[in-house]
Amino acid sequence: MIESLKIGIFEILSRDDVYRVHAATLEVLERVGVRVEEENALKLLDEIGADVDLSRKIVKIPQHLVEEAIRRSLRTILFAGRNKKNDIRLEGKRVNFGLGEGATNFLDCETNTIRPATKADATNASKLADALPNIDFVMPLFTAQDVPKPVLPLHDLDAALRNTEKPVMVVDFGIDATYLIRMAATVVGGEEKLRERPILGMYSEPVSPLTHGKEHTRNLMTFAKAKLPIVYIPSPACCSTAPATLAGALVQSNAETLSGNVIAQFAEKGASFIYGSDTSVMDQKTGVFSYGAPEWMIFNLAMAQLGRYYSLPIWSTGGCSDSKILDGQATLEAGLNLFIAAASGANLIHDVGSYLNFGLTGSLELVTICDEIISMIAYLLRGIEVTDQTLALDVISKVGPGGHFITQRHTLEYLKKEHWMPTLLDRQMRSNWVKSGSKDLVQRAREKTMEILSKHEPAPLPAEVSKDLEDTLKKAEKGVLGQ
Amino acid sequence: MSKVGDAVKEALLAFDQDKLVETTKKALDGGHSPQELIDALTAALKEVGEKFEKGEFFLAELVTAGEAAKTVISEYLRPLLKKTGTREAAGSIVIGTVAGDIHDIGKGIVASMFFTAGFEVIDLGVDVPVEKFVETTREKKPDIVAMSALLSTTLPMQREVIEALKRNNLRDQVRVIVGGSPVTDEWAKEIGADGYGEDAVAGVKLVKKLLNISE
Repeated sequence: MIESLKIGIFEILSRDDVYRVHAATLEVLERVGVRVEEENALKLLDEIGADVDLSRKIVKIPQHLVEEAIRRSLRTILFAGRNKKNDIRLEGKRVNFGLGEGATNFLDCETNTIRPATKADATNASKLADALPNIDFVMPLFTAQDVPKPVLPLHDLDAALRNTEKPVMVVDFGIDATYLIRMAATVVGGEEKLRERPILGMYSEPVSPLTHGKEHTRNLMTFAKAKLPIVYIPSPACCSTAPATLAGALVQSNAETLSGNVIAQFAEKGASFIYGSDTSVMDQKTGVFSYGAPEWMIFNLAMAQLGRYYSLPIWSTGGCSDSKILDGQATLEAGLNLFIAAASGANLIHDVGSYLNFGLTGSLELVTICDEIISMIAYLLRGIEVTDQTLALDVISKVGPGGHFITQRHTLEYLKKEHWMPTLLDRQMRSNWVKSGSKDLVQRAREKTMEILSKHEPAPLPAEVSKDLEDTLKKAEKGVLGQ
Repeated sequence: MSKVGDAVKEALLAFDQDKLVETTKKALDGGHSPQELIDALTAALKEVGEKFEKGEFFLAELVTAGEAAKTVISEYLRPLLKKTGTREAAGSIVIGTVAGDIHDIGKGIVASMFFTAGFEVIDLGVDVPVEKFVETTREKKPDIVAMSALLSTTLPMQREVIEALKRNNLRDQVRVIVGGSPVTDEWAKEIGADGYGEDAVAGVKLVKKLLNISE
């Protein structure tokens, strides 16, 4: 977690640019409109004065409604942990990091092979995220392939709720979000308690271009009314589901997330809406949606700038890669997009270590490596403290030309405070590195990951809560599967 | 560990020389012998060295503890001992940076680590002339002569010293070790040194190996 960025945030749009993107977005929403496939949302939008074509399900949203929804939005959102010490706040330039969810494959980094991900993998990912000091919120990384598909979101959530005390976010995957809320409510002692201690957030998406799907819109409204954090952001790809130009894709992304906010804020004034987008490109040689693309990084910078313009809490992405295995490309892309996302000043940065292979493969070792990268980035973005003490004039004059600072009290006092210490990156002299087994980064990350998983015991749910959660999950399964 | 041992260790781990001096004086006033205090300091230093190797202490802390202990032993405890020895040293080491080279820090860290590991250290400083190494070897009869060179241009001075020791029939009475960032194993072999350590920890291990001291 970075409490507040000290050094300048990368601002890549001028004030004029920001205003033009905003104005263009309002024009798109007012003149082109969005398709809304959920009946209640259509009714709601009609009631508040949007121009609704019920037969085509096209809603044209007047500018004042978009502006009013922004005014109704929260500037600060509490995202609670099961344990209060893990609470995070989404506001200002506070930067928090978390995993992603949805990888259907587990990468074995010893053999570089993949196999279908299981609930046990989601459990281990949650445990690992619970233990790593630079991970602030938990998404279960994998999505269980060993449970019936319609209920897999319930099992992903179950794995996370049981294995971390940090705030939990899950992807809705179109399931009725009421079930997710019931499970989280079981853990904290009821839905009223859950409003006070919102330990669950939901990630859901509009479908680009400009479409609010039935299930996702229903879930958006459900979470809005429950006063729980909602990330409702599109994932358009330039040249396929968005224009080729970066500015055009920005306008569309902005229109998609802001029209979601209109639905949320009029369903419930003061809904905990989190703004952003996962905008990238369709690769022109392979057709894939790239996770390592510099275009995504630049969209992260621009969307964070727009989010701050609206004073909305901001979602972003980092720590992911297009590589198929945990190699140089993976660490290069993950390191760079993590840094850019952090330097953008976004409040929730997801997909840390989760996504390789275009979101299909998850690697626990990459999570561990990203934890080290985040620690380094957090150090960088804290900047330099300039005070009389840190300017060190006394000790400079005491040591004088030709002396050394090793044994100065000033050195001992500040070395731990001012310097970053690696826990995974290697700084041994070569002979010692050889003696300790000539291990590369991936091998060391694997050992550290295995050690954490064998030693770390997340605080368990109390026995009766655990039993209740099991019952709630079973009921939800029956509800979903219609038994 | 004795009570006085605990007090010495605590003062040493505060990395505060003034506190260590004060604790030492108090212990002497309380009737503890200088030898007892030297032993306590040596034991505490050994622990600091071990913790550094495990990554629990940092380099600056290791060197600071070594320097503080050295000062207390040489200025406050050694003068009180009737016999000339300071402590039951594991061996004695003459160390210096070769002529033409004024780099002090690396050599200083190694010297400090030798002391911490229980060796008697005679530090000749920097820019040490060839003759000075020879003279000191003749007079002090150390077990080890250790030479540092940071510049590749001053590296040949390490060979000069070894040749001078040979000319003065001293080479077979002493082990010679070399260090410094441009130094390699090959270089050490080429000039006929007895060994090379890549860093300070390796240097201590090397000396212990040469003198058949178990870890």
